Amino acid sequence: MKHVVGIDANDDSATGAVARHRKKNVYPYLRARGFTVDLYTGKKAQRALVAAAVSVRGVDYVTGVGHGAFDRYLGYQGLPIFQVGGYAPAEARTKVVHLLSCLTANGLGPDFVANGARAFFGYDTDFNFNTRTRDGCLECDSEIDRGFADGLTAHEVYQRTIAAFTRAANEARRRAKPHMAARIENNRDHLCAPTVDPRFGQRGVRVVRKSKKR
Amino acid sequence: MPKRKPARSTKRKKPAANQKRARSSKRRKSAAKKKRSRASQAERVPPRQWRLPAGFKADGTTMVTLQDLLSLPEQETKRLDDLTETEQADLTAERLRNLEKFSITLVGVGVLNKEDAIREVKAHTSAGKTLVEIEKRTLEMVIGTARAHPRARGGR
Repeated sequence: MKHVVGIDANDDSATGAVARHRKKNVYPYLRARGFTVDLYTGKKAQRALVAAAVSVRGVDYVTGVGHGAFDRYLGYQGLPIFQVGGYAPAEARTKVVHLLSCLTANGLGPDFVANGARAFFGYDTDFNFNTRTRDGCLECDSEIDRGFADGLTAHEVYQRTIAAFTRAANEARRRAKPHMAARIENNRDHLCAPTVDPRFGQRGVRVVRKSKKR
Repeated sequence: MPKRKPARSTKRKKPAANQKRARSSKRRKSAAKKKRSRASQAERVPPRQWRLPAGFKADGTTMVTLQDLLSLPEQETKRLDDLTETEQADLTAERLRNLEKFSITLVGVGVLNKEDAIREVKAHTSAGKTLVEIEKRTLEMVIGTARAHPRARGGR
């Protein structure tokens, strides 16, 4: 059975909205695909607990939402969970990591890969969304988790996610909402993954084998 | 003796060939009209965009609305790509200021209203730069639409 560690900081309105979306749309999907999910959310989204969880052998996939900066990913009350130079290589080794967080692809992502992570998916800008207008940005990002759960390679996951962002942007254009389309495209064009640069890992890695039934 | 009108047949008469043609032509016209309406919907520039600042005059000091930008000769305005970082930030801040309401959520920052967004743009923070980039994309989109489909101006 494949093991996922989810780290969802949800102590403000921005991360809270994303965490709710993921609770409803991402984790049930992963469980339905046979993954065991260890979820660290709220007060549990803290360094000591997460470090112990991801260091365990057999954790294949790490996913989460939280504030971020170039070199760090933050959890509950803005305290760092992962920071360049502040985590053990065992926490990254052999894992595929997806962080829905701002800016982490600038430093932390490549650092994960340098420390043994097989692939990193994240953003090198401030990820934006608007739940009021239902722009679909969160839905598009969730394609990353769903893609890996479906047994796609990192490259295939990237392509599927980009296609989802493009569809959403085109729909916004069709509805004569250029600002919404621009916001969606901005997220799309700042998604970093092995396809974009080898600093983010290998294009061919999978978390699970692709099922023949699918 | 007045002639009696022949009783109406209960059988429905087959439409004449020219009636059939007329009906099918009507259907075709209606379908084409729907298609045109969908197309114009897709090409429309939202009315508020016409009133928002969309660039600078060539002197780099006066902002112009989208409407003015498109009506002035190109050499009298600055190209979007030629704007300096400060001009882009000023343009973004001015566009935001002219909106009735504005809200955006940035995962790294939180929910920004109009005043917060203007502050971030003016301070050239990471969030501000993201907002400038989004506004630039929006402008490229609306200017492109307006130039490519002159009918889009009908959306004013």
